[in-house]
Amino acid sequence: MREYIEDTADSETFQELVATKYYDDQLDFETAKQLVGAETAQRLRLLRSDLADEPLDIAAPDDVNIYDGDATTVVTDDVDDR
Amino acid sequence: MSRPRLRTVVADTSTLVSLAVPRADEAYDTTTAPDPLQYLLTACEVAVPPEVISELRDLTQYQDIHSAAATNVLAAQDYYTVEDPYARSDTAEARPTFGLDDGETDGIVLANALGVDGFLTDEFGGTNFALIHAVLQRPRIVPTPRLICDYARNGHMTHSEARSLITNISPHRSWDNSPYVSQVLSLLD
Repeated sequence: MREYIEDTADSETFQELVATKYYDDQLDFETAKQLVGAETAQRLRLLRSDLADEPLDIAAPDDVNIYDGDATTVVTDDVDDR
Repeated sequence: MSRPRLRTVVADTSTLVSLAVPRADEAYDTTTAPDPLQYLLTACEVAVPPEVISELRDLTQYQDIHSAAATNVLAAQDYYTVEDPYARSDTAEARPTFGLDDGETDGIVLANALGVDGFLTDEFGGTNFALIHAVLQRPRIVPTPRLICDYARNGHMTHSEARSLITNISPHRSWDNSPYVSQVLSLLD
């Protein structure tokens, strides 16, 4: 049983599920901690507070060519069909 | 109270490569759509440790989009500064052991020494996130998707442009299944 819980707690999908529920306020921190461990729960807590933060004050960018000539590009197959 | 400013940053290799992906993608038209690397390098003062440059050079040996992205970050070198954190008098002379990779460790030491506003990283999906947060002194940890989101929330690009950037970067950087990235996208709805 313990092995089952440890395996599940390590699985990415399970962690993703806990993260989503925690961000959506359907789980409290203590429960999240029991489900995914202290380290991961601490990350989720930091990220949830990051999401709740007001926007950072960022200056406007300049429209200049930063690449010292042309930028390199490659054709990718996997962008359009995702 | 005014919002926290993000004017000076140290970036790690992962952030620079992620932000460089759209411009490196032949299919993504940055003549009409925003180039997030250009946004970063012209709106913030950016510093990186030499180890990040060395990691970028290693990436350029391949033939994929990460390689093209790394090549472009290196081509933009006039727009950021490279500083060795261990050459400063106010830091340790050798790399501390944080349990992180060398580029991240050096970036954090540099960020703390310069007292910058933010440390940019893609580590929001890994167990290192809390650790990076803990070892940063004044600088705040800024995950790359949050940076893109805040360009939109500052009015420098539209919400739809920011969404599109994050969606385009995602498949190349394993952001697809990240609940955090989904939440950032929902902030842009």
